[in-house]
Amino acid sequence: MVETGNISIFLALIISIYVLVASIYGVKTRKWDFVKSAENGALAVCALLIIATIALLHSLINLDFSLKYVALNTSTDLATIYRFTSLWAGQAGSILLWCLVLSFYTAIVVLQSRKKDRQLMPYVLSTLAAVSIFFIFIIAFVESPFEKLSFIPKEGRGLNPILQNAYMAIHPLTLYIGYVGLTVPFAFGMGALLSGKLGDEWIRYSRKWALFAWTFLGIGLLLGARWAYLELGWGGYWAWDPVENAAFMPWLAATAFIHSVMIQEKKGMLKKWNMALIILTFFLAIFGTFITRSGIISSVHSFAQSDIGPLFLGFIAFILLFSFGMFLYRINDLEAENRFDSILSRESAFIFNNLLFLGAAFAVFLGTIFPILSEALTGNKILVGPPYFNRVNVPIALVLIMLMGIGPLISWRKASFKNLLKNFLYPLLLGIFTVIVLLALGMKNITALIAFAFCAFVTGTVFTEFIRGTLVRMRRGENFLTAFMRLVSRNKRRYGGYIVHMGVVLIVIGVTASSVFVTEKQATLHKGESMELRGYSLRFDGLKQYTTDAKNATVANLTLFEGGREIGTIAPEKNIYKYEGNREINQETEVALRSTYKDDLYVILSSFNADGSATIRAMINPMVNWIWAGGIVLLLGAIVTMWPSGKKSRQEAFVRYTVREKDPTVKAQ
Amino acid sequence: METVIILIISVAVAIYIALPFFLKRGSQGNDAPVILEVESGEHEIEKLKSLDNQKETLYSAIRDIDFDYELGKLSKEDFIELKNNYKLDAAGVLKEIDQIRNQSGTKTPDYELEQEILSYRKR
Amino acid sequence: MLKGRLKFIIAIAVITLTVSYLVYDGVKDTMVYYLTVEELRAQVPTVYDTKVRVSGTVVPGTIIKDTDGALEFKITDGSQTIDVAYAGIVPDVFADEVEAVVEGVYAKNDVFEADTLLAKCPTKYESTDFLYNEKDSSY
Repeated sequence: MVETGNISIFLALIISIYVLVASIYGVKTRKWDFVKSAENGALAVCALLIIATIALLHSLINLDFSLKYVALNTSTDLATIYRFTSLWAGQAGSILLWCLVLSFYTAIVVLQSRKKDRQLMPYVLSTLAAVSIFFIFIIAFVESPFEKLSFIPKEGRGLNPILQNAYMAIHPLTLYIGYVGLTVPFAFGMGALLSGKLGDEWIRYSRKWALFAWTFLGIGLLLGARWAYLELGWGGYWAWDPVENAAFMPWLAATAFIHSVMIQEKKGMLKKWNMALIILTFFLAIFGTFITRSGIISSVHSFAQSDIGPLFLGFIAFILLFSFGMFLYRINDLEAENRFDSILSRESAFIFNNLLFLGAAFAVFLGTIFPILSEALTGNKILVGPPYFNRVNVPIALVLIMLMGIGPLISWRKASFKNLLKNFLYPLLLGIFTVIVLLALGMKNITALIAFAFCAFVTGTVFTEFIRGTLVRMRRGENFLTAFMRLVSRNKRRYGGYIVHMGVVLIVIGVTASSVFVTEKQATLHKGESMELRGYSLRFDGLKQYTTDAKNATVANLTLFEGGREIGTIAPEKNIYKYEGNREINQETEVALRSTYKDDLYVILSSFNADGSATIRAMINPMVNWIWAGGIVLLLGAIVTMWPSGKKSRQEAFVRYTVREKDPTVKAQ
Repeated sequence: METVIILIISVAVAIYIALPFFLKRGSQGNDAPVILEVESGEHEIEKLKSLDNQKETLYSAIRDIDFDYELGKLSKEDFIELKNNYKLDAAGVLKEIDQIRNQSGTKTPDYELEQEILSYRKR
Repeated sequence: MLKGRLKFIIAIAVITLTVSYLVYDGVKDTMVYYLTVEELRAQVPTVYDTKVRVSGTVVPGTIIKDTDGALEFKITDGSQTIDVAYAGIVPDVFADEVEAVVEGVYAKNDVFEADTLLAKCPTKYESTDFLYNEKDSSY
């Protein structure tokens, strides 16, 4: 199977080059056979990469240690499910996965858009092919997953234990679906530039792809945060680590994009801006994956050090120069069709939204590359850590939350100030009421107060929108349920978007509470002794040791009391993995977590001593579960916005255009 | 054995890619029911499509304004002003479409709404 | 409507300036020099009591864990070595010869008081040295 996999990769590379050339040749000479052939080629590439992936999976599951990739990422004691996920554990395998995901996207774009714009699609396809060529080239010639060792080791190095859990299993996959997915709107944008079709076709076609990629990127980020929280044992979920920022920056730019394309669609404005924005978003995605893989910015999570770095840099430079070059070439044709009437309009709110998101992206970008930049400019390596990122991003985030509340209240083009105030009233009161209640409960932290007030305000706005919208429909004679269902289904983007905003609100509430109001305590306890933390009491009942096939474990058994009442047991562990292959990590801390919607009790066994005493570190992180719950709401809202509308496709069926048979080489569609 | 498999894959892929050059293009199969057939030069087709999209955008903008007004986000004056602007724009687009479609002379699916807009224009 | 446009431009300028200011201020107040052990020693005594980040390899045999969780160890970059004291959460990877990054203040008694300790995640690196050790016992 290895040979088959290997050859499949080379075939995929050759065919991708063919796809690039044939699609452009076909559309330029109007020889549509070439275009169709290129489309078939794209589908073939997908099939070939599936074969290659199956080949690698086969080797991984069967522990074929003759392959370097298998030997480095698996071991005989590795559970089968993790042999499967080790597909993306290392550089070569994960790039193969990237290629596979990209080929799926390309194939679906080809299949879905066959009947769409004949002038545009070949260029879109050629862009997708060009990006594919780069990544397939890497696994063909630079980091092959099928590279053989000169001998067959008896045992592999094994998979790092902290990667052996459900979150790490799906987090990379969702991230890739997000990252790679951003290639599609980018390809549509480049297609528009290359073909000269600079209307908003490219936006209309790529809108759902952008949403889809954005959703998965966001979910991937949340999963990564949850993994870090559960596995890394420092009690937090986000450290502004370069690898985290690498995924966050394109997400910020993508958020700006999915908002501003609504303006172009509705009003035909902002053509140039949207084009530049999608180029920037794609650049950030590739840059992000570059940071993660090249090790150029040392991060605690660095994937690898390798010579992939310079290749990526070259590719990034090429993308930037080519796309902005095309952009400038076409800039005069990207004319706006309308002007703004009023600063108080949804358009303006969206523009401010964009500026703020890009401002945040820029700030994160600067902070992330600061060490490289400073070293290049001054010779000294200087870095900025979490305090910088928080100082810059928190104010921006607060303003954005406020905009989330105001935006829906404003109409397109122009909002009537009096009406605005009227609609503002209830949510505003809710916000003020929240502040008063929190102050009364003793909360003093200004940032938290503002954040919670804004969240209440946004919640008020969203509920008002749903209620008022339903009432309007009810006036037309529908009953409550029908009105509500029709309201959402006829305006999926608007109301789905509101649901997404509610998800964001929940996440913000969780983040605020768990950042500002954390309590932490460390104590060394002998058997029978207790430690207190904010109304909770932990009594140390002693250490126990046990053994499994993979590890020797030491457990600290604790009984938990709240306000004097016993509510359960907590048992953090420290494990020593037996298998020598994981030599670099042979010790692993297992966090003991008790989660409620009110707070998380996060307990770690820091160390233990020969006399049976243990050093326990306990943290109370309020409302962390709201973050994960918010993520689910966000996902649901995103699904609503992306849900297909049957009506539109029916309408498209009504008109068929046929070209008059003047020219025998031009055939009917 | 594996060499055979590789050969088969390679040949299959090559055939699939070469296929379009040999098959006749009858099977472009648009299975959707066709209500309107427009025959035109290639350039006009593109223009028509673009105008059609502009028309759709304007219609949905009008629907949005209607809804926003009912939701109370727009004052009556603003609502009327904006709606008139949109209707004017839409009328302009429809006129262009008509000019191009004069060759085929068939009616469009949104006939009623368009009549309303055209009659407004005459006022 | 020129007035409308002007309001826009002002608003955009305000946002841009504010973000720029936040970035400037943020960097100024939180920037931390990232030094090797040698560079740190070279900057004594000016570097005392300033917040810096230092990376080095943990010198084998120097890790001392106190019963109440406090940690002492030495790091080196091959040419110089310094003492480190730390009392927070210890990463699992932390052990002899691991690449450690500490952030904190170098006190006048030549002990680095760290408030942050990071240890480098094993490079999913394609080093096959380990495998070669197994070679002799293979087929």
